[in-house]
Amino acid sequence: MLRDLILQGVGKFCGGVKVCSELFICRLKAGLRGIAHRVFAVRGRALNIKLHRGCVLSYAALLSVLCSAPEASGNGNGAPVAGAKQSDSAEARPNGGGEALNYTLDDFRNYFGGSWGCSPNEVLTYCKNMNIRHIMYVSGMENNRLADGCWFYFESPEYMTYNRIIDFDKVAEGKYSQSDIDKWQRDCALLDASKPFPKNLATGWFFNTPKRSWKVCSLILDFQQKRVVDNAIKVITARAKNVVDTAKKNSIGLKFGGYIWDVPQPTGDFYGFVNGSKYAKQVELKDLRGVDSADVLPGNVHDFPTFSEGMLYYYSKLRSESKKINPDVKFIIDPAYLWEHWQEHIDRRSDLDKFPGALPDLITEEFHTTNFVDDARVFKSGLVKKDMVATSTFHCWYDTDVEILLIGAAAKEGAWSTFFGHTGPGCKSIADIPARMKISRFIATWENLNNTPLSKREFDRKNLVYSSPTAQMTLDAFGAMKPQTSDFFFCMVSPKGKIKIPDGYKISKIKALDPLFNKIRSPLKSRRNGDGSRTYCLNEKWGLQSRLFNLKDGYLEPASDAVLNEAFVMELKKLK
Amino acid sequence: MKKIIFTLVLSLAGFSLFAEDFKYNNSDFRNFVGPGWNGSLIPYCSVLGIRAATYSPGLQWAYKGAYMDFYYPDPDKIDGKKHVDISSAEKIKSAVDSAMKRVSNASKGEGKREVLKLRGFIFYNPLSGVSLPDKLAFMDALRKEAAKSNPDVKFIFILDDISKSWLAPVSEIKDARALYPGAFPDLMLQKSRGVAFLENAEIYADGTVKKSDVGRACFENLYDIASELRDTALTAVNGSWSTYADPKGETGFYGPEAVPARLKISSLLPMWENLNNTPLSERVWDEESKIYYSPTAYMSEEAFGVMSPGKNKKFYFVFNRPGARVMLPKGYTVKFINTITAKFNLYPHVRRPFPPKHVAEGKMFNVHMWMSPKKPNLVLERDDGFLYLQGDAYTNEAFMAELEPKP
Repeated sequence: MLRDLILQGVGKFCGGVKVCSELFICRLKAGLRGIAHRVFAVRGRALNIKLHRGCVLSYAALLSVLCSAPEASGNGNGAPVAGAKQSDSAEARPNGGGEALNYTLDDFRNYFGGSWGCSPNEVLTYCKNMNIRHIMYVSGMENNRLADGCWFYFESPEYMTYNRIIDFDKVAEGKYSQSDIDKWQRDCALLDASKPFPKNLATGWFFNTPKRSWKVCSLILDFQQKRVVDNAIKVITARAKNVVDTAKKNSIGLKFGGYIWDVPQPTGDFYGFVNGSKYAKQVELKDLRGVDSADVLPGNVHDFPTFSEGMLYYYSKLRSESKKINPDVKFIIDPAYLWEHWQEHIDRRSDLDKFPGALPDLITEEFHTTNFVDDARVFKSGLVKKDMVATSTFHCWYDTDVEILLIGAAAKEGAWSTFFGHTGPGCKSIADIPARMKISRFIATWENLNNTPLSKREFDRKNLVYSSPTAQMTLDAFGAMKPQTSDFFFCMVSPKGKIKIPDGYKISKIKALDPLFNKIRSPLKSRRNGDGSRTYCLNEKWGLQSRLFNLKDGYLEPASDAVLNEAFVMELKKLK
Repeated sequence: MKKIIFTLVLSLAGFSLFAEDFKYNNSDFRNFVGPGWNGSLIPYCSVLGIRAATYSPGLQWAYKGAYMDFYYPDPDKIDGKKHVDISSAEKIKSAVDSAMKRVSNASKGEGKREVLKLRGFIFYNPLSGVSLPDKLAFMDALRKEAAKSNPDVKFIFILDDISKSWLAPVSEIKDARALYPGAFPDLMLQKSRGVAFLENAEIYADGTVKKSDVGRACFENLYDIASELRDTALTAVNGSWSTYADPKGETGFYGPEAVPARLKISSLLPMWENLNNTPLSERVWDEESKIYYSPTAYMSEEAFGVMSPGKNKKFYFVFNRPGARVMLPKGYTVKFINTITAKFNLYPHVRRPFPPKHVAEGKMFNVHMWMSPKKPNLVLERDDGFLYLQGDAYTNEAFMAELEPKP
């Protein structure tokens, strides 16, 4: 009662409180377990904020701020997002519920995670051209001017704190020192302490060695040992600070954003052979040992009874320590399947309150399903919202229909879309990504950043047609408005492709985009035809004969096969 | 049919029967890439067996173990822009010394180790903005000096128009060839669209220039597939040469990865027809149906494809529109299909080649699961010797087929 009174009182000064109180009631209905988590998490945060900011905030005001985005802030700087109201779908959307979105470019979900193998210059150039601000860390980006104004994220940061890779052939050849071996046995998860090295070790990811010899793999830190966790966190945060400091020295405003994890499991990133399979797959310790716990050498102590608890302690402690560098640090995870590989495990737990801040702020699903928005189980506990999920699959390079399905589903629900890890299997250059994918992969994100109301986003799942005032997708063409600009990026996939000029706009210029989405060459030359249509040609002296597009009845169509699967941009002008 | 015969006769004019016996190999100085790209061209050249690149600042640092010759561009210009003074014999000597010093610096990489080897010089419109006799004297002196370290140094000219930009002005200088023998190019490439370099009889009038001494280095058909097809086909049937060049950076393409796949293939095609030693008599341009074909290459408005020279039989191809087909090299069938990067390299590990699946119509090649969950069909090889495109998502993207002889 008293709490509600305070809420109402503060609500006069803070627009989000009414929403917050509604949300609080919703939490009550969700079950005691969810409420306990919410209360303890909020109280924990309230305490931290009081201590760190040195000012006294009322619990109610704090609740109003934090409840508007339970595990995720509305934007990159931690400020609340106003205007949340109950949407028609099952879960309340903290950020607007569809009609009053208020995202900014600094929102941490404006994020590119596809940096593996790419050069920092390529990644930063593409991100700059796409107005993307939050980027998976690429070594050297702290020395690149293009990183100014961006946030970096370490991927699977625990792996940077030790020598994770073991080659079993090298073990047989005696190529590892005793000190390496002792360190691994002391700090890494053991499968069976009674067995000799290396058979005593639990294995993680197997690298794609030729002919799948299963000889080279990752070892996993033993998160059941607090000592191991605390040491790892020290190294990680020192590294993050180092990158920030280096950028500062270079007068580059690159900020620390947080962390990303590749196919994490709350039970640990183990891979192994089960059920007689000759292929290793992602497993839990209980699949390998019968219990959710690693073995331990005599003399070593496990501070947590299960590996899962150790993982949660790691995430929780990592966040709290990382807040010293960025109070609004974010966690992004990329499970293969959101429910089976992540949320199912989380929802089973009744002790989440012991590990505040352990849960992610954004979950990007790696595999090519719409379960990240369609699977009701994911949202049932209330811990995950539609604006906290995204698709990150790279598997649809040539399945345009699947790409439209995933992106359309994400956009329609106010979820997000991005790349994670590889931009495509084996792909180490942004130049190699099909132009249509470089646009489509960000359409759901751009719809949010354009604050396009959900009610205006129409998606025909059966015919795979998506349209809104700011984006379009069909099997024949893709296009979207770059957020906070009037640049409309598009790609014709087939000669039947058509892009509707967004209502209220006309074309000012059309330009070609190079593989990193730099605008190149002079704008296309426009010629009016007798029937009122327009034809767009190359403007260069040497290319005046080349017809590229026709504009007729408000639609742009290809005039040449040569433009298919290439990216262009329309610079639009508002009609008076 | 008449047009085919006419084209064959035209192509043989100016050639002796000796032309059918030419034996080019990959070391030929005309196996090169022209100016306009940064260091990212080295992987491209390496995978395609291109032996020489045009120098751009930093190329020696981009060197990653691939043996590479280089052409130094416009040696009489500072930073490629301002002409040095070559108005007297003394100034010419100074300009030559300065050029050779820059060449020496360009060839050295880490630890001042020589990583690039000078193959020669490239001049873009060499007579533009300079006095003609001075330029001839400079080029003659430059070749003599460079020949001290490389007796086989070559000069390549990239010209807007071979006749107007070079031959006609030089013909005004009496005894130019006798006075300045080193100034004359070994290869002349036309930068502008069209095939004036083949059709202008004046170029061949005095017998000093042959069709194998000329070619094209043109990007101007960037979105004009029909013109690119025609220009490339005529270049190939005449045994002339080709490469990609953009000396003034007009396309905005920073490297080979930015160039459309069909332009990469068309810029390679005439050069590879020669390096494959495909007889001229077997190179056919059918103007009526707008198809070029030979035992090693095929071009139509729908698709371009060419076999790389060398032992490994690789066929690089691109479909320009949905529903297209491309003819395979004669006597070969596809063993695997590979997706390739924008620099024409193979992808690593997970992108295994696509093997065939035998179906009633022939051999079907699917994209494998890691790339696309539904394993869509990519191409179908039918018994008629053509590859048929199976979807829209693949247009304007290059692929590579590993070939094997037909049983």
